[in-house]
Amino acid sequence: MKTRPARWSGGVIALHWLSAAWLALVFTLGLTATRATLDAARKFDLYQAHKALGWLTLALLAARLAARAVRAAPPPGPSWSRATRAASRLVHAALYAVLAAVPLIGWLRVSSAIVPIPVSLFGLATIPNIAPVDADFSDAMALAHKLGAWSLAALVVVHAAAALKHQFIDRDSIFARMWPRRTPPADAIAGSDARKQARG
Amino acid sequence: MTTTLISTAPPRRAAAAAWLVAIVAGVSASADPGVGAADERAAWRIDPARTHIGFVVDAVGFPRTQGEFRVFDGRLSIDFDRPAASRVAFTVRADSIEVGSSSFDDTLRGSNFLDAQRFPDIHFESTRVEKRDASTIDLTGDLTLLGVTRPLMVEVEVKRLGGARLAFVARARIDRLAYGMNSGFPIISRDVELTVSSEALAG
Repeated sequence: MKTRPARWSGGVIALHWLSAAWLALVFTLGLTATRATLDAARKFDLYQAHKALGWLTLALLAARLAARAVRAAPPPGPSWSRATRAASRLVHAALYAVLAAVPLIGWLRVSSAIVPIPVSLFGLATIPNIAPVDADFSDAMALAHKLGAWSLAALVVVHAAAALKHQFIDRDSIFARMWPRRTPPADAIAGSDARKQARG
Repeated sequence: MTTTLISTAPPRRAAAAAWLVAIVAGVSASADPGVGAADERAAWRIDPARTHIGFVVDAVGFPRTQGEFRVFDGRLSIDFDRPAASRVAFTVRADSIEVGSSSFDDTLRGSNFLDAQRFPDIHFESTRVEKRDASTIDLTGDLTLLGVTRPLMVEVEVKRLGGARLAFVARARIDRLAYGMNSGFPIISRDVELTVSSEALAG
């Protein structure tokens, strides 16, 4: 059995917070593109930016899953009840599922749309379509994409509320172990000093 | 004497040789050119700085798209005494389309819409000119878009500004499906409203 580390790895932490900021941007772009009163050119640009950055969340998710696979996750809190553990597992599983589903559904929506504008990664690459043109299917995917995005937003609220509860009410280390460390741990400094001394 | 003048908008993309719209009008002042009367056709030169070739397209769930073509070329000759002898032709460079977003422009230039690489020019040439009233001309002509030529009705309001200056506004509704531009229909409307406003100078 692998030893469970006390903290998440640096890679997982970096990707977690990068994803948080990235998704906030993609969500805001999507919301603005669909709801704001804008001229056609601005709206077009917002849609294309949303599509490109949204598609890239799939790459981000793949990187996160890879980073998690490399190193074991820290264990659940020692005092957690069975129900808390189950709730935590459920919310995290749902988060990962929705993080994969929402961009995939968006990709299907774009692919099947009768207005043929494939995802372009800012002119550097064009992402191929993955479904035949079908107006009804595309509309259904648009609705699913919207419901999925709001489900993701709701899950993020639950996830963040739980993290804040751990930090400010339970006062345990659950939040801190996903927070970037400002200074290297004492043992790393000591190790570095030891190496310097060894070289000197 | 038949005079032809070419007018080109300021070349924004160094595409001076490329033209999108040309307006040609020929006017014969001769009552009977066949008997050798002097042909007093007046040629008019389009003022590119005062010419705007705009279009509007509607869509469902998307704002009305307004844009313009920046590169055009035209020849124009108008006979005020015998409007039927007037002639108008214009050519618009398809890839000079601008809607205010470079990626949107690229989409419209692409194969789903203007297919500007295969069909660089959009061309109109009058076949019949009729005077409706003192300031309105009904123009019938052939529009060639995506390599397909179809008749097009154009309503032209003409206003003499005095001296050697003439203002006109031409309006037409283009049924893009008739030219095989089907992409996005019916989300994107089949009709494209075209408005050409311009000023021309005599000689």
